[in-house]
Amino acid sequence: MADEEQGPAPEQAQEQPQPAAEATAAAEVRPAARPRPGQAPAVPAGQREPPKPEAEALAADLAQAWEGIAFEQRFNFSDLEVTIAPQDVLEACRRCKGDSRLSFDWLMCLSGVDCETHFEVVYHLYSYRDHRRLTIRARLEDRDNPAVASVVSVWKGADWHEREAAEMFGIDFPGHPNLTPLLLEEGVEERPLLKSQPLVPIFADRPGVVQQPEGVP
Amino acid sequence: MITERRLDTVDMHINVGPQHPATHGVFRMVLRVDGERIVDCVPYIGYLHRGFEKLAENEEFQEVIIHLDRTDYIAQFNNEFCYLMAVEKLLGVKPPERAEYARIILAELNRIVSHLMFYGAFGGDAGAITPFLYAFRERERLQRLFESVSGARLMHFYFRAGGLKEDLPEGFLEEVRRILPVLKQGIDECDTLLTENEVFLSRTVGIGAISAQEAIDYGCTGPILRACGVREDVRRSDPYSLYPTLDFDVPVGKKGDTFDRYLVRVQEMRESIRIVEQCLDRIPEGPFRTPIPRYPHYRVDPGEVYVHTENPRGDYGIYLISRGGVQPFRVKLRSPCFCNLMALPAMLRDAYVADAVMVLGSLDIVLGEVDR
Amino acid sequence: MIGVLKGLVQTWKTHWRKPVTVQYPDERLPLQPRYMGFPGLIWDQAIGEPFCTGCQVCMRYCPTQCMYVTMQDNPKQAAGESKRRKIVETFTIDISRCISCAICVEVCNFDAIEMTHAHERAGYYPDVVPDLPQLLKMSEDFRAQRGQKPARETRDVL
Repeated sequence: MADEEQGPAPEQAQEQPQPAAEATAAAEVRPAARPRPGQAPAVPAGQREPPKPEAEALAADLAQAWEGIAFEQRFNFSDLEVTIAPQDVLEACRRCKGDSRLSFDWLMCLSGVDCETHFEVVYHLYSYRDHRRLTIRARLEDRDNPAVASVVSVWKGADWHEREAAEMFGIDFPGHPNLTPLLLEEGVEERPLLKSQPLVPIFADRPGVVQQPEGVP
Repeated sequence: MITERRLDTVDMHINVGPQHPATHGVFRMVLRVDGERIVDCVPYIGYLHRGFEKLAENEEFQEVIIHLDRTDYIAQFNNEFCYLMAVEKLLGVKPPERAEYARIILAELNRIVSHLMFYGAFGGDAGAITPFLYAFRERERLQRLFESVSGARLMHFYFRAGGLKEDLPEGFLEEVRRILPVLKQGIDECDTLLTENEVFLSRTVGIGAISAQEAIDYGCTGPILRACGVREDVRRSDPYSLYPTLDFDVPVGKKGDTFDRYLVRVQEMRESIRIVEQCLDRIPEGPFRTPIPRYPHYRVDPGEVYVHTENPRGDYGIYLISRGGVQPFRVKLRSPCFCNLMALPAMLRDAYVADAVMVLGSLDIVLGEVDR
Repeated sequence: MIGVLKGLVQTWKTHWRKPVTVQYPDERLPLQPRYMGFPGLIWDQAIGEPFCTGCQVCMRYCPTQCMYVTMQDNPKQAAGESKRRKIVETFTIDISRCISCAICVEVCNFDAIEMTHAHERAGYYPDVVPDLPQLLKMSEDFRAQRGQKPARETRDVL
């Protein structure tokens, strides 16, 4: 432990400016985390690995199968990632599952992300036939009424994932058969995973014991 | 003379849980039954929700591991493994070979521990107490090994970005080598105790079957999916770490029923032993951690990554977003039980009420991971 | 029927095995050397003060927020006996909340805290909140148990 331990090093004071918003996720090169003087700018983390041949083949298939759907693509950790508009999500997902060139039969994960300026719903797909992965990212620019069509009709496994995203972020999924709260207790109005929602520290509520002073995270 | 009269019947609702030993935690389901047959099942979860994802956003990358141990609290090493692969991908470091092998050994032993837990609890669900004692006798050997490695029996907090917390203790590998034959024998004993038992067979064979198509549609993974005959294992199909170099089989079932799920898990334990044996032969001496600047308060490059690994319960995925800095921006946990549990209503349709407990037990849910 | 009989033969064989369990309060299984119980504070015997300077880093990183630490000026530094300018004033750990995760050991810059083997600490409320002298004693007992000298030389062992 002692060998790498540096203690409170002085250079920790220079905070990295947080990238405020990621405009056009496809082309943006975000600032590297640890720029050191005299060092070449680091490659973004996702570009360190070259794209897999399967991912490149998938990009070609996708361009054909997704005719009429506008999307931006980039390679992230050797896998393909596409960004689409929320109104195209249902059609894109239908083709992803139904089209014989793609046949993504498994929705691995569906996650909502609060990017502070907008919301994102990220679909991680997997094809058991071809053993390849695809990430679909839907950008919900409308922060007040975020909504994206439900994909439960495509994959039944999206059901609880969407319910979770709905209660945690307030994203609406029109077309979902039963969009009721899943994990939180009834009557919770807050959206816990929003970045604007602070994490309330647990304080010792017993008298006289381990009282935390103010300002301690 | 008897004339048949039509009786007016109503569906009855039966509430099971949340505090019920057969639900393996705090899980509640409402069964709608018509006589003895289940018409519909509505699962309710969230009783153990601790807000892991929110907590993780407010803590450093290193501290998140502590909470990960507490998601799937029967397969802790596997959880840590998955998360740290995500962090290492973003950091751009690779753990040294010794650490990789140590991780695989511990993860596979943890898989055996988890499956033994399933075996014991499943026997209990079927009404047999003896398997529980046999499983826990074998499990205890491994728990003591884990204690000697990490200092904790359950919440290990042992894997670190770039390797391990500290080197494997002296004599650990010899101890594993000594225990493996004993363990093998113990698993065989468990096997003879239950697998051919007619009472057990009558309670499991053909119960809660689900087709492969449906299982994939619901996002079932792990032993549930493999029991349906889909030879799908993340260690094989999307290999990570050093698994491509290791030789092991992926056992599959045929019918996708409760018994096949049980059998797949028993066979998986044997495969895990095979993997550990190979790792023991190959594990080299050397460093146990790649140095990372400012460890343990390291900064992680901005980016996002989705990593999934094969946990005992299925495909465990971590979607990690970093915006640079010491804290993750978003951690989404794709927990296998969460997705397997979604298929429960489909499995229970037209089953008997008494089988509901068996089907739920065969899913091997850990509520800490379902609710996060 | 045969399957049931096979199982019965198995249990009959097991009947003659030596039991693996122990009678807990009378006998105890040995703890592993790395066992993590509750944390204790290490005493610096060379100077006669704790290693802890009360920097509160453990308090900040504690996931259950079970610690409370305050710092004071070190009187021994003024007297020229110690190099530490600051020293711990109070240190309490609510071990009913402690989860023995050892993050405090990991983040400590002075290697002043360690995981002892103390784990049988059930009790009523004020008893489960050791203060500074009790924490120091926990570590000292632990080291005496393991036959280690509670001195500076043993620091690098941990």
